[in-house]
Amino acid sequence: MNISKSVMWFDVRHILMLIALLVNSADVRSQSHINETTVYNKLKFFDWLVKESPSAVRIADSKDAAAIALLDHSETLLVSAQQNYDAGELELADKSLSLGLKQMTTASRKIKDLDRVEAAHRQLFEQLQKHVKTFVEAFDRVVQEKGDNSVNAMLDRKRLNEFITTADELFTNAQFAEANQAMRQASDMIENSLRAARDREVLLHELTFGSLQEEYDYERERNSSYVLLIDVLQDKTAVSDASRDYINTMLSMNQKLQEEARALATQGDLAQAIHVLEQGTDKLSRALRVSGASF
Amino acid sequence: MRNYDHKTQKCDRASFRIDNMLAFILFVFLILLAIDLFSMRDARAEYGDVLINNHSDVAGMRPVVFPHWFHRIRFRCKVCHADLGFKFEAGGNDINMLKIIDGEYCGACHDGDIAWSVDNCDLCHSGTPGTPTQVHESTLQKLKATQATSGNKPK
Amino acid sequence: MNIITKKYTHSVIVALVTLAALFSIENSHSADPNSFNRLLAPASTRNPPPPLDGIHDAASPGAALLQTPKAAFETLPKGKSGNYVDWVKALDEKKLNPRYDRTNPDAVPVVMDLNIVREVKGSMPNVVYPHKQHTEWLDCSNCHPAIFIPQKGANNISMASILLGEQCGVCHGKVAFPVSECRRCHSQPKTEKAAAAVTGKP
Repeated sequence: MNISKSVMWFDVRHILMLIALLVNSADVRSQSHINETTVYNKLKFFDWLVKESPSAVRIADSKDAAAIALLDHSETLLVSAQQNYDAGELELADKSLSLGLKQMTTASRKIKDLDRVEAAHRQLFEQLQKHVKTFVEAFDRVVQEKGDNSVNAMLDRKRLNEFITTADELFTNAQFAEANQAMRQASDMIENSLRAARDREVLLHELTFGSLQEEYDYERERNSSYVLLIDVLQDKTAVSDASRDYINTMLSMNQKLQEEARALATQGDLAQAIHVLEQGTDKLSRALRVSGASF
Repeated sequence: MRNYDHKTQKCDRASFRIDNMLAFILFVFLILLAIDLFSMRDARAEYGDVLINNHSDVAGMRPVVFPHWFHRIRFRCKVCHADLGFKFEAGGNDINMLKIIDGEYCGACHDGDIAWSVDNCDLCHSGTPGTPTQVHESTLQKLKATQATSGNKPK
Repeated sequence: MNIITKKYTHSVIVALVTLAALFSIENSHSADPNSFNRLLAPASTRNPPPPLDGIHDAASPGAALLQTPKAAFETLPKGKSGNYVDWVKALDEKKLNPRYDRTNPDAVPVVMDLNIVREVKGSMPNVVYPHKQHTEWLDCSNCHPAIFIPQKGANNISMASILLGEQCGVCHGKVAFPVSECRRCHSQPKTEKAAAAVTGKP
């Protein structure tokens, strides 16, 4: 009686410990176990890919014997994978599926989806066209700013225009890949020229306002961005309760000042509105410093 | 541990009780340790991870987690965002398995040559099901979170 | 009998102490009033491994197979935010050599060296935007003209828009370093005179 009891306890106790240890290993790797859900999903996808997908249709309709052979082999692999899965042989099923997916990848890349390729080319061409145009305008501005012929000489305009014209012609003739190539050459040319024209320069963009309205809009944006910044910084550096109270006080004071400024602005007194808003921003700067920004 | 007496074929009762007590304490301790290790209390996703869940939930797959950090180490931004046509928008590229197999987007590299191929489903589809598309740990995500808790809206 | 009780109490005490230690570790950063970096989240929560990072499904077979960020970042210079890696420095120090072309590992980027200094209101230092560091990673078309028009005065940039994920915020705050590091952009201090001129205050 005593022995049998002790044997039972021995087993249960050690089994419990083993379970606990297994549960603890955050290092449980399932490399050796093929997950059933994974195989099921793969099988479902591969089934669709081989039987119904646009890729399969495209390959079957094509004249490429190699691609069709790959598709046929993929079909065989699908059948064997399904059989293995049904029989519970997950590893074998997974092997067939992996090979099948690789083959379908090779096959579908042999037969390009021409519609999609064309759409992509068109989009790229438009993008490049806009890009070249913007940069040529930027280059012209540099030339004007410097008033110096040496800068103008950095760009061979004749050649650039040749590229652009060639690209446009090729595009109209539906030779999209070549058109993009020519346009890219134009783009590279203008980029290089701009690079050379502005090499190692420092451009200063001063803060100037065309009108009081502009200044008021700027101050409003500045004020609201300080509020956002406080939000973001509070996440990064956890603040104490006392600091949080201070920040909230500053935020509510700012809100009142914002409303006051808005009222003044509607009345037309923009200068005073800006002044009031600046006070609000000042309060927020203090809250920002407490939140952890050092500036 | 147990004082097993071969002659009488019995265990010493006292030491028997001690062993069980210790085992129980150890078991409780280990379970608590397990809970501790597996709890997601303050877990932060890696900055820049993009969770894409355009079609995954519907298809019954886990959503995709794209790790920017891993790819930055190997490619400059230009390769994907200029040459391969990826837009700067989480979920904005409408990527699906067919496009990948055809060689677009992810498929441009994940073809078995430059990087591993499409048969490794779980390496990409490893997100928690039901998570909406987003860039993890991004400023925008944090702002939405603080707005949700505080009820404050900027402006 | 005395010996047996001693053994029993000893083991229980050991187990309880370990349990206590476990719980105290979890709450340590608020327990000690004079702990060094009291309010800062501990560095141990940075760069968590995929199964514990909050977005990967720990039960997914893939999550455990993925490389942990910490392992990859070991050789890279540390940063103060984002991934906690200084990517620009890593590139400069040649700790990394990411490809500029998908298939050609030897392609070299064409870098543009142009600094744009944007004046800002208030005492905040002016923003210096360096094309050099950006063109080492990006192509001109990534930003121009879709995000920024390459013309002086044509772009209204505000911190609010950056925080909301527009303009600079398309990358900064998502993949590139977030805006919590003010001085990385606001790096050109104003002279007193210049600061006064912009704010209209002495």
